Amino acid sequence: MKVHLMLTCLADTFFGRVGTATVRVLEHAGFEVEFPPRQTCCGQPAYNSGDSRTAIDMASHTIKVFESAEVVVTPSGSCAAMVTHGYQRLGAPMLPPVYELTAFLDKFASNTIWSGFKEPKQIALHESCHGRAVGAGAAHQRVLSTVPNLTILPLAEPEQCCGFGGTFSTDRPLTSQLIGLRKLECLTTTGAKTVVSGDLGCLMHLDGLARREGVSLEFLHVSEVLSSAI
Amino acid sequence: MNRFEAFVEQLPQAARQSVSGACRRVSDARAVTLAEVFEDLDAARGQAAATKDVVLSDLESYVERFAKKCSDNGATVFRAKDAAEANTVISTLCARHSAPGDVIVKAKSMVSEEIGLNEHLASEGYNVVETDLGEFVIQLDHDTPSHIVAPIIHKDRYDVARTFHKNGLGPYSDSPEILAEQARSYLRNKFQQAAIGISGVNFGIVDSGRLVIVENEGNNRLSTTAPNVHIAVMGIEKLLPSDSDVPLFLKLLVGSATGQRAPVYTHFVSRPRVAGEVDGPSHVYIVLLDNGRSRVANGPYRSVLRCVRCGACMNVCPVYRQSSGHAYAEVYSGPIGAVLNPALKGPEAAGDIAKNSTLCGMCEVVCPVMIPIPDLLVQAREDLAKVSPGLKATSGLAVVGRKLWLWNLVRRFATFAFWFPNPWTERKEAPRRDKEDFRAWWSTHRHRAGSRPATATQARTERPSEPGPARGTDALWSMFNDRLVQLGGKIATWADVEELPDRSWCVESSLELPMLFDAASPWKATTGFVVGAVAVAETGSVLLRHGSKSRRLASLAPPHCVVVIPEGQIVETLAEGLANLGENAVLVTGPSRTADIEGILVKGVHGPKELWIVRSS
Ligand code: SF4
Repeated sequence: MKVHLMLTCLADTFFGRVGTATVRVLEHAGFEVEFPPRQTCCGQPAYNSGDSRTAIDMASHTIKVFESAEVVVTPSGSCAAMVTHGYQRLGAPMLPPVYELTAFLDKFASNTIWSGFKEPKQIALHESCHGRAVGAGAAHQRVLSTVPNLTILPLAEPEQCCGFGGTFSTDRPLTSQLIGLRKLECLTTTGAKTVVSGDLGCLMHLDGLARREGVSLEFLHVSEVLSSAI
Repeated sequence: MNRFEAFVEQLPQAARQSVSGACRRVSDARAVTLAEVFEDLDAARGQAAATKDVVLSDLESYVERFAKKCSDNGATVFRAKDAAEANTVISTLCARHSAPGDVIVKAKSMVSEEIGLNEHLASEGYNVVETDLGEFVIQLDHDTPSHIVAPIIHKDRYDVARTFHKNGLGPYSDSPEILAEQARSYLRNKFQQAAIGISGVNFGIVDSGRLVIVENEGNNRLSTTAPNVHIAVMGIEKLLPSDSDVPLFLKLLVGSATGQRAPVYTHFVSRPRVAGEVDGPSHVYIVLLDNGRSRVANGPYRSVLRCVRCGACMNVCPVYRQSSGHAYAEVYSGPIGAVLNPALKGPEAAGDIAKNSTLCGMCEVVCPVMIPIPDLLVQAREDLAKVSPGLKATSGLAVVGRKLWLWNLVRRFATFAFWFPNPWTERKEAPRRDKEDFRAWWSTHRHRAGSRPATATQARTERPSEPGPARGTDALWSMFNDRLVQLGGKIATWADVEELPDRSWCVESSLELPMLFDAASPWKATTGFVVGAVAVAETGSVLLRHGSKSRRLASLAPPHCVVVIPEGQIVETLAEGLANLGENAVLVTGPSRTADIEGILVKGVHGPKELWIVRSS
């Protein structure tokens, strides 16, 4: 099966390693990957702040970019939710099915073999909120549980948001910070040194907070964990 | 800094901790109870949503039918198009049945907060007393509720202790039990003095013209039983088509609100007192408030009117947990408030309240009537954007995002944006750009890409659900017993009753007790005896029907209540228990209780502290 990669604007702009890891993981699981270069941003920042005109413009652009795709995979629960649910609500549905990375692996490649880690690795998993809407959180759990020598430590208040919320983090920066600090507290309490999530928005926010607070935690995208377990 | 953030900044850490701690506890209790109560919670939520939508899609005709049925039952119905009209109707009624200066007892009602009823009645000279423990504290403090279910969620026991002490309710104590006791004894007299009781309504049943009111403390029952006049105020969206909808909504409402299986008291009001009844109000007035609801029912926000005001969306909301309800500066706060205010008032008047959300979606996940709150928040933001002049912060995206050369330029220099003062770097470190650029990597990689098929398979298991066995009477009583004990009540025998030391009893006239007792007024009696119609095993509840021989206060005013139930009168489900409600009735589920102070459970506030059930053969 050939999949079209929707990189996401955050990976495109800041976190190239996540794009690379995603391609490696998909290829390891037996898929051929295509990257349509004209892709940019799905329009979610505009959509969430109520700027539906811009959101529709970006939706039409994105739909055109992925016109010929059979299936679209993206390393983000948030973007997957936007191009499925959000586009639907804007009256601009995307035709090819769109999956978050692990939800896709879980559905079409649950038999993938991972060599795992040489040393036992313990992580705390932050399931992103928008990922929940597209089944990503549960899929992270299932896919990561097939990786040898990897343990997901139990996390308190797993359903709670990290406080990023896209434009919320600049509209309500203090509240966003307070929510994030609470999340960091729960993550630190697990005892894990590594925090894994399927959304770069959450990771970028939590990592920024942790560095400012002097909390030493490593933040990895789920694709990076999987690609180092190939 | 905007108003919301300014409030959050000055919020004392203790208040923040009270709020988030209570929210966490209630959210956990909610999850546990609903999972136990419903085999398929989502199906139940879907059914509830669909039931509400039936009403909301034809609201006016349901309201008319409901009003007609209520008048046929003997209640007097008024329709008010806005707050001013509702207030006028109510103060006219108050003038008819009492005089300025008189005490009016009031049970908790969000809609009365919405219309500013207390302020209005106070301006007319009435002495309105809030009787719900939390609302009572709010009134003493001249504060406003910060949560639709738990009004003093932002206060701790020490705050309440100081308030009670300052107001002379008793010697200083910070024990929640003693504080509840102080409120109880202070408010006792008020119930007896008041000529009028005002309450809200949880559900209005269209087919039967019945009001359903739920509560835990007993103050609502007292407010609507002891005075001679009951004024019920309700939003027109509170309607349900028929009595058979009540069990589902009851379970969803209280399970979501507090994690209980049933509220302590579910009060069914369908008519004023009839000849032969000893107590209960002779006049029942129902004020149906529109205040924008009809318009909302015909627009994009219709589903927000499904709301049953359980507060689950607030409890689970990360923003609410850090900010408390007062930050929203509206009567309805939290996620529901962030949608309801713009829906009812329009985008200009409601301001940017809809921005107080990360759109995490947990509100929608927990909402018992499946209101798509995040979508409605986006809708409200869109409506606000339409009326706000000027360029949107995100409009540049449409230019940059559609020209690859521009996009690449912006990507390259994105980190520069963080060099200037901005809300991000004020509180956290800027993101670090990876050295590895994906597009660069891809251009070399794609020529080398190959596929490797995977091999191993993995089995997946799903939990089968077990069907429950059919239960006989004894099994039902044992299930009932388990629930009742959990609630703090007990199954007693006549021997237990004989051993009660104090025999100042108040007994319903239909009950012939096999032993001697000293008859006392319900306000003086230590124990009240009543006959129950049916026991419900799944919730540990008993249904009391108010017929011509009943004495409602007997089950309410004395600190100890004994309900006698014929042995065979037990059913398993709430639906069976409520199948035959009769006219006025109350479903009692355990002793009176409150968790208003720090979420700590205190037994026996306004209603009885002890609840005994006697099976009689
Ligand atoms: S919106 Fe839903 S969760 Fe929130 S109070 Fe209303 S019914 Fe409860």
